[in-house]
Parts: sequence; C-alpha cells; structure tokens
Amino acid sequence: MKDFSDSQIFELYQTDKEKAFNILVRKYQEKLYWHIRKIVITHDNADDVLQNTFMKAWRGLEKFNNNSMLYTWLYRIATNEALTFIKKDKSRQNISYSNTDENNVINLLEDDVYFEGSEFEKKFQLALSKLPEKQRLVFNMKYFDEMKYEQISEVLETSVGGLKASYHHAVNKIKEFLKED
Amino acid sequence: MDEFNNIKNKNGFKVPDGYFNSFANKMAEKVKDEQEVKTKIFLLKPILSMAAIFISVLVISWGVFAYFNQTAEQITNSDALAYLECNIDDISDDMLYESYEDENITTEEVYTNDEIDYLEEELTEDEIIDNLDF
Repeated sequence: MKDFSDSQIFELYQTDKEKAFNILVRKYQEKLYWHIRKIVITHDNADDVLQNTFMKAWRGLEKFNNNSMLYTWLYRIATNEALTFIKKDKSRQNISYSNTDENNVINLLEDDVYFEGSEFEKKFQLALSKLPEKQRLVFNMKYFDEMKYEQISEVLETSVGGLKASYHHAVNKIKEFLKED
Repeated sequence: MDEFNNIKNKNGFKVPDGYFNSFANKMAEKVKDEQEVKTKIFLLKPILSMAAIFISVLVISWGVFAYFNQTAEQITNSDALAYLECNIDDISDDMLYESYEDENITTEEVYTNDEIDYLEEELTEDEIIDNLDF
C-alpha cells in the first residue's frame, strides 16, 4: 500500500472521508496499539481501547485544525482513552494497575493468552507498573516508541525539561527494582 | 540503558494472527454503520419535528378543553344553586315554569274536576268562618 503523508490523508479526507480514515487507521494502528497495550496490559483491553481511540478520531477529524501533527493528536487521544479505561476498570473491579498490588499485574499478564514473556519480562512489566502514571507514559514513549521529547511534550502537555526529569527518575526506579531479588 | 536493550523489542506481548488487517476492516465497517445511522436521522428529522409539534398541539388543546369543561360543571352544580337561593325574588313564575317544562306537570294531574269546581265557588263570609279549622 502506498505510504500517505498526514497532509495527503487530510487532503483526501475533504473529498472521501471513509477512504481517508481507512488509510489513517492502517498507517497508525500498530503504533497506537502497542502504546495502549503497555498501559492496559492485556490484548483484549488494548483492542477495546484502540477501537474507542479511532472512533473518537473519526468523530473529531471534522474539527481537526491541522495545527498539530496528526500523529501526536492520535497519540493524545489513545493515551487519554487508555488512562480512562484503567481508571474505570480499577473502580469496577477494585483492582490496581499501579504500585499497590503486584499480584494483580502479574495475574493480568499470566491470564492474557497473548503474553508469552519470560520471568524477566514479567518482572520488567511489574517494574513499569510501579512507576507513577506520568513517569510510566514518558518512559514508554521515549524508550519503546522512540519519540522525541518535543513530540511527547505535545501529547502530554508537559515541558521538555519536566519530561527529561521524569524519564531520568523512571529509569533509576526500574533499575533499582530489577536489581531486587 | 544497555541492560534494557534486550527487552526493547521483545517485551513478551503478542497479537493474534491477522489482527491488524482485520482491525482496519472492522473500523471501516463501524464507521460505515455510524454514517448510515446519521443519514437516517438527518432524513427523519423534519418528519420527527412535525410529529412533535402536532403532538404538542394535541396535548395543549386537550388540556385547555378539559380545564374549561370541568369549570362549567362546577358552576352548574353549586354556584347556580347559591345564586337561586339569594335571588329567588327576581325570578318570575314564568321562568320557573319554563325550567319544569320537561316534566309535563298539568293542573289536571293535581286536582280533580270536583275539587276545581269547589275552589272556583265564591263563598259567603259565614261559610268561610264555618270552614275554618282551629
């Protein structure tokens, strides 16, 4: 499939909305999926959140003013949807995705048929789950998605300096946790 | 960050086979369904608006009719009676007789002919005194 730039997609949207949207989905679905998956852990949850993300994008495209990049706009929607999802799931099931209950994160990983990680990889996910929400997001986007600080700043609406500090703290905490027995 | 390098590309997460291909198709269907619903609502909007206006007019009309109908009955039953009691002197015999027209009361039904003849007789003063019952 031909690679479309964001401005080409946006231009096509003016004449054929559904075709443009389909191209948009195919272009960004994998990146957004993995970003969401690292937050919500399981494949089924990631699938739900990804669908919600793209439906929101579909409804919002009409008003998208093209001042920010399409990618960072989509990333912001995906992040907000994923965080909203875990907050709702947390209160519904009275479970924690963060540092107060290790067993729940381990259970989520072990119950997910689409997780085949080693014990070390499980421990790594546990280390990530122990980070404060913002530090975890910054680490994921910087380390796994290899985004620039300027792009992350647009998504999380935080200064580049603040992001650098968050990333530095996140790395140190993960290292400390992985060294523990 | 060297110790993390091994984990960067293999964090243990997997996806079902063909997931991303079917996902894009699934989203295309969802968007198409949403567009169809939006189009149907757009076409039905004028009809729904007219129906809403018609129903509102009916409800308001019924309400007004029910209110005035009830008020008229109350006047007939209690207020009319009070009026008659206060103003009986102003009502002529003809008006009263007219209100009983439907009942078809005649003098022939109340008095016999002999009784009528008796009443029409002119009595002397002595005859009147004799007939008094003390």
